[in-house]
Amino acid sequence: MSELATNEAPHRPLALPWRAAGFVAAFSVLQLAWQRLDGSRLEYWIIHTCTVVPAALLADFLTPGAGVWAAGYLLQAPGLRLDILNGCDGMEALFLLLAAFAVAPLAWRRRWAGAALGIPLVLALNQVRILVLFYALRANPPLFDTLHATVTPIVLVVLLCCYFHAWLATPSRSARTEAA
Amino acid sequence: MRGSLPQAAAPGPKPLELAGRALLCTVLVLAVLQVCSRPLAQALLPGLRAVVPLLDPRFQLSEVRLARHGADEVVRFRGNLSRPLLVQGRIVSPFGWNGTPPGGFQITYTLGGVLQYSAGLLIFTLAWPVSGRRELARRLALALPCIALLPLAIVPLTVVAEFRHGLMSLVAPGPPGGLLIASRYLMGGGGWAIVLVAAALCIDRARLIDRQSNPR
Repeated sequence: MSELATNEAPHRPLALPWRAAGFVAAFSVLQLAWQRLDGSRLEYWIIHTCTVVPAALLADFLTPGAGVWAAGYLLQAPGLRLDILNGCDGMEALFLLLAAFAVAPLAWRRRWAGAALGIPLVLALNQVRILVLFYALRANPPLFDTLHATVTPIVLVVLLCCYFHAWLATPSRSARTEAA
Repeated sequence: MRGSLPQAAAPGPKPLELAGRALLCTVLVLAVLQVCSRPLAQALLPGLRAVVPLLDPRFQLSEVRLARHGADEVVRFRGNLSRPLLVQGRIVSPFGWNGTPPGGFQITYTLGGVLQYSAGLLIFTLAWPVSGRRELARRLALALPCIALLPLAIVPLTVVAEFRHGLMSLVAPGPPGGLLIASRYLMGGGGWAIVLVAAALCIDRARLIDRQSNPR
């Protein structure tokens, strides 16, 4: 029998409860570390520079007359402001995804690749969320409340779970080459 | 066979199939939530009212009800200290006690915030494919208690944490206490971590029970 030349992980029957505990532990480390960064320069850079500024640029591109600008943690336009904090920064979603990849039954290369590809995905989806909330707030404040409290958090987590499952279910390129 | 590779077992549904099912379940659950959030939140009020003083008997609730907060419908918690307390060497009296100004602590929770995690758990429970109706029934039997308990665990914890934080902000401002950190952890993704773990365990256990009951 030929040697298995793939970067798929050998079958390790680690029970689901242990993986679940590992997932919660990994997430907790990331989330609590992030909470400790409250008010720090790193937090400001991640939220203002990496989240609010791109959202303002995108909103300005989509609706040039809206007069949108980034002010600290706020996405502002004449007559309204959107506070990008406490979930709207996308960090919790990112931590959930990274924690899932930390315990996933994958070879290390695929694990890192999946996590690395997930980072821009989370950032992009979060930008979409911010823009949806911004335009909802602008056009229909009651709709904003529904979207903000319920719809967008659920949809974001569901989409990330779909991505994670797709990564698990899709064999690596070397495995596909070997099988061909 | 010589030259062949062992094939790993398929890890569940195909990605597009799962994405389609997840999208459908999300739309259905959110539609139901849009219609039923008020009666569901109303049904939770007695439980929320009961759990808060269990978490911290130093506080008593004067009001737990649905209210309007701008355009939003919210669950409003109003509370006060239940008795004078010694806090960092100072006697702190409840609002309105022996001539002190009336008042209290107030926390509002959007209905969506109360029901968000339960809705998420229901979506994941329904989205993953089942082999038959019995497996689905077993899965729901495992998930429904979690769906009911999640808001009763998370919401009162946040209320008590914010009450405590409100008290300390008045008396001795300082860094957030442990309960507030725990509450912010749950509100900041920790609740979703619990939802995802609960969904995975319910799906897995139901499938195992189904296989044990119906060996193929």
